[in-house]
Amino acid sequence: MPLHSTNFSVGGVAVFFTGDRSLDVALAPSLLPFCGGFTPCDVTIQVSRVPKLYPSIGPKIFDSGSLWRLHSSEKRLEFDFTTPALGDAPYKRLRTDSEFRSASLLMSEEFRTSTSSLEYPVDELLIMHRLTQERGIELHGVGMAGPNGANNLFVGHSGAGKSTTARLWTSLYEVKILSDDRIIVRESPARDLHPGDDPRQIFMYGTPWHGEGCFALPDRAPLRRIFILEHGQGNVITQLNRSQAVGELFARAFVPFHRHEYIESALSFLDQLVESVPCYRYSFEPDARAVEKILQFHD
Amino acid sequence: MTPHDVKKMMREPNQHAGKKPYESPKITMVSLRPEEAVLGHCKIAGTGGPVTISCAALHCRSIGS
Repeated sequence: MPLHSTNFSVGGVAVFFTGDRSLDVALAPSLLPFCGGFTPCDVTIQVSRVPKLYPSIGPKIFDSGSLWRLHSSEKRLEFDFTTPALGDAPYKRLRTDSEFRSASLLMSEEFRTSTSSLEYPVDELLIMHRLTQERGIELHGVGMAGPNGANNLFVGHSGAGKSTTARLWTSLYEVKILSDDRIIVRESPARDLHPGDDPRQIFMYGTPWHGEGCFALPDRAPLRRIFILEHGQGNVITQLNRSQAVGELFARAFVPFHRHEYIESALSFLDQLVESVPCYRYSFEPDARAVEKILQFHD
Repeated sequence: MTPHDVKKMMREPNQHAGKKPYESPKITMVSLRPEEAVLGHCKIAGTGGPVTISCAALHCRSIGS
């Protein structure tokens, strides 16, 4: 029976994990603000240590190109985490069912340099995969609540201006930046619904995986509008039709590409999202006028 | 729908005003950034993002997002 346990929640996904040592369940600093008790939990992880891990012998399903590889093993999925600095042997292995409800995390004793069991990219991979079962998706974007209920999500690839946008808004107005790099968009989990709430209301959630501005809040806000960010001349807002919006958002989403069911789940949710939340392309110049343009904009 | 129905629609367009006009399917290219989408790399060490101490010092040898 494991002696220690911890839980946290990111994007409405509640994770409970246990281990024999307190170090096994120690949260990475970035996850500490997201620590808390949420029941029932969505994902349960048991952390244990093994003397050494050998590369998985199961068929390889996906290779990220650097930090992780995915293999199938009987009816479970095995994520092997490696680094060129340590050779081919995994320093960590996450074994999970295909719905990402129950997992075990094996830590190699061979490499004691790894400090936290759920440090990046394990935490983000786990949440991203679990969202395929939850009517939600992780997007590359900056989400902000306010001012005056104008809760906007600005989505963009690296270099599109997400952190710049976060800094601009915070320098001018009282806004709450949920994250300046990764936002989870989803329906509210059933456990958070109150009588009279609309279960299809879409919320954006802050995450621990922030950008250069280091904005990362364990909070959420109802989503009103989405803007696809791009640098341009002047500040121009163009409405996207449904198929354009789904395509542009999918290109800026974190989706497990190794199984068609997960991609279908992501596309189905994006279709629902753009039906209820207006989506625009925003070509902008990074100065105060870009902020005013959004504040004066009406759908 | 019969030819008779089509003629009726053309004569009485207002009855069908609420219906969206047909748009033929179009293929639109969107640019994917696989190196960003699969969480294959850490972000730049020391500049924020999903980089913990051990990740920056040990696991990250490449720069990504």
